[in-house]
Amino acid sequence: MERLLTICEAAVAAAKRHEADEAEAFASSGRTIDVELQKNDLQIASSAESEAVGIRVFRDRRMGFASVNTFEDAEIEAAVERAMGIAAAAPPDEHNGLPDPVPVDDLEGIYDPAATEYGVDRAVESALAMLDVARGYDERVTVDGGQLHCYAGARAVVSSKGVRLAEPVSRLYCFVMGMARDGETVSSFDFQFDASRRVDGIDCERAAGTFAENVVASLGARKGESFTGTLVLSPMAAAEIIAYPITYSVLASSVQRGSSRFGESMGKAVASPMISVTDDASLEDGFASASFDREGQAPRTLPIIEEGTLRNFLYDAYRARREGRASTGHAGGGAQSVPSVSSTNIVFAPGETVFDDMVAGVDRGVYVKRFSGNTDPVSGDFSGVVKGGRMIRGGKLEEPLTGTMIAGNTFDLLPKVAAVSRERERLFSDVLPYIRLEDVAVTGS
Amino acid sequence: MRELLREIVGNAKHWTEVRVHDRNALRLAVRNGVMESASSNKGSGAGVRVLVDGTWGFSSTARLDRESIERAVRDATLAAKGSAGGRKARVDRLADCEFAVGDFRTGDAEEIASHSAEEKTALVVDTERRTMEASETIRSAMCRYTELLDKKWVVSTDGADAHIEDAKLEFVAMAVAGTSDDMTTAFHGTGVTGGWPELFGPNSAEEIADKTGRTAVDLLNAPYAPGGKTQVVLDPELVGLLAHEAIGHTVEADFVLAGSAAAGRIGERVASELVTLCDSGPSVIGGEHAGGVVLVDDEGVPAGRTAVIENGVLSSYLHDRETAALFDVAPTGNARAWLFDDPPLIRMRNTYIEPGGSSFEEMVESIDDGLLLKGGGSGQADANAEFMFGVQEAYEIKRGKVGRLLRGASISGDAFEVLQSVDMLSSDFRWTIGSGHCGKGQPAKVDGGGPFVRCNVIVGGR
Repeated sequence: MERLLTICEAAVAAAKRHEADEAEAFASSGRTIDVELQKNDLQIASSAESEAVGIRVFRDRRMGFASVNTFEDAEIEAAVERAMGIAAAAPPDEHNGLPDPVPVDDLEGIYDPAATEYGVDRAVESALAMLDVARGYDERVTVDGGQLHCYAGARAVVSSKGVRLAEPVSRLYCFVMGMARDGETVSSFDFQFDASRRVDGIDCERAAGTFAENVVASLGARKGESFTGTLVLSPMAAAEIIAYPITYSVLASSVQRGSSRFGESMGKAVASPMISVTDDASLEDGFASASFDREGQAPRTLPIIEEGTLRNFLYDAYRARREGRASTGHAGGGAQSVPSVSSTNIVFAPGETVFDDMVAGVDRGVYVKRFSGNTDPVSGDFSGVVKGGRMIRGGKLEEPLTGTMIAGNTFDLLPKVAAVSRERERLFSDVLPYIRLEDVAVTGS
Repeated sequence: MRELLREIVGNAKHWTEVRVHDRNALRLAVRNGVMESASSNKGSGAGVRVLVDGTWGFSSTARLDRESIERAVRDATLAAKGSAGGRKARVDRLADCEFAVGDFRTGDAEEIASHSAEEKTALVVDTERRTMEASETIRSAMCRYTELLDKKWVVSTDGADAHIEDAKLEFVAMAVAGTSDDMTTAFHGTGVTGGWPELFGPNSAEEIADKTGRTAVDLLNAPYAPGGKTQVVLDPELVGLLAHEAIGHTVEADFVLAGSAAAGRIGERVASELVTLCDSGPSVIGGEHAGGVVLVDDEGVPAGRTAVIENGVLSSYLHDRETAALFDVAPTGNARAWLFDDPPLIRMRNTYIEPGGSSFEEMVESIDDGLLLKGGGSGQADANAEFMFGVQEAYEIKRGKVGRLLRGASISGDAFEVLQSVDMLSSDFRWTIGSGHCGKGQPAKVDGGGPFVRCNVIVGGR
């Protein structure tokens, strides 16, 4: 990590030599192990080391940014020159500039030293276990692709304002995707994954088991009917239809651009009292957990929606300065991107209904396991196809569905959420429950 | 560089492919008057793929000296050996072909370099402002300009020895119109392999700005489209998406081998006999500047035109050298990697439906009750050929006339059923989806297009 800090310091010094008023360098380096599955077999194993540094400069309130994927002095110098060249051509903006340093506490649990020792052999073992579990569940299951990924490295940020921070990080994930095929009948595609900061934290076999169960269950799907009724969203479907528009709408960038539906709703009810959502960068084992953000600010844990009421927007330094306030520590990005506001771990509070009771209360509806469609986070309009879905009749999960589309508006539906489950699932950085919505248009074929 | 790579590959103990890739990317983006991105990203290095004991190994290095590349060869070999025990179906053969040797150049990096940073920045700033000023009801606007300037060297044990230079550009505008409780978004873009004359050939930056602003405002006052199975005319942009998302993915040979809906159907009638659908490396129709142009793929295979469906009959899958050997056919030049540190995957290039003999007017006149659908959003396809993608604008067609605008929703269907229902194609052709990327683990620059097409789809309305 000292090496990363030294590289960043040298880049900032180079920018100052090129007469930058302010400069910031963000660097990362690490080692990646990947084992990929394809067409029911192991496809390729890879191991590689990588490094990158991104330099942001300001001159007369004009911003420029350049990155390079090596720490060689001459390349860093060239990147500084490119960043200065871009800044010279960019329009000035009075709010441009870097934030002052703030106290930052180390966060436990974002780095597992075992990840640096993780080898191809162990990744192969886990990848093959996924294949065995999926194929062993039913001979009709076919794995189109899958991966076992392990990254161990470090990140650092240094600025001419006095920010000087570094921390080690590790990230592991596995995924498996494919379908079931019975003669000429091909099921819906399914995708399952698990992610953790710890080597022992991912459960590949569970992901593969769920995948196999889902694709087999969706064989023999029937084309759905058209009606207006209840939807029960799985955590994965809720991430697309509910969490995505909410998260987009609380970014200060969306609000300031006038593209957030929550722009004028601070302190007002925007959802059912059953909905409470928090942005938590300190979530244990959270995929987006970090002790400092892309600009070296400490991320604050913020309630976004509390019992249906909008409580906070998320800010980076630039968006905060436009409103004369402090950053909430939500600058996202890496060495190869300009920092911009982003959420970290989005955590939905659990509800009071268990999933089985949620379904039991539905007279006619659709259980949406996965949503393949478009959600416009600006308007909240969503429209797409139900994947791995089941018809619900008389409180029971019935036949699997195909050719069934759903459409509606997230912001119109949020105040009318009918139930939130006690059960929650973690999806990379989000923690989500099952959510029941009423009066949604379902189109069969 | 080629000489160094030839020596390294020549000294390797196993089958080896070294691909050096140097990418310079420039991204300029302005939104609501704020320069949100002004970045120059350089990514350069060597990706090494080896085939040892019937298994692939891969490694990469950002350093381009002999020692670093040779270390990557050793690391890739170790990765292959470490995983060989786990592979069931050994790769015992790669399909042969006449490998690419020499220099290959696409795009116009020199023309792009003749425009200064100031000119590029001003273009983006001015276009965003013009989009914003198209109407008082526009509350947010964005303009983004992207350059990808690539230099590549691909050298393999089998004799591939190519130096490739390529330049691709993207330019898009976006507008959001409305009030805080009712907003509509519109998006227009262009993407080419070429320089500025090609990028702004069909539409100038001003025209793109005006069109984007106008679409967002028009949509604001439009009712939602009704849901149901409907006879439609798809515009060339939706035809490009249909060709790419709905058919293209199901015929990627890796996906076929996993059992996609196209598996085992070569020689079978899968579409109306009016339909010929191709995936082409070079831009063989509609001008030379399609956004997904590839002359040589990342295995050093020359990329040509592959007819996937010929007069309604499924005629070919899309292959890399490994799958071509398994199917005992020639590789089609579809192995592509996004950056030096990505191994090649089977990817599409420019995927399109060939034009027919009708005019757009005849097609509209022939419909009693249907929709004209224009402009795509993002799309997805399923293993069972069920596809979904967003539609920006839907116009009613009543008694042979185009009527009022409806807010676009999503369309869906079984890709092969939809192609069976194709009964009219217009005689014109446009490349239309070059401003976007295809995602399959890695991004890829692709394009797609076609004529106007009459067919039946499911519209997800309300």
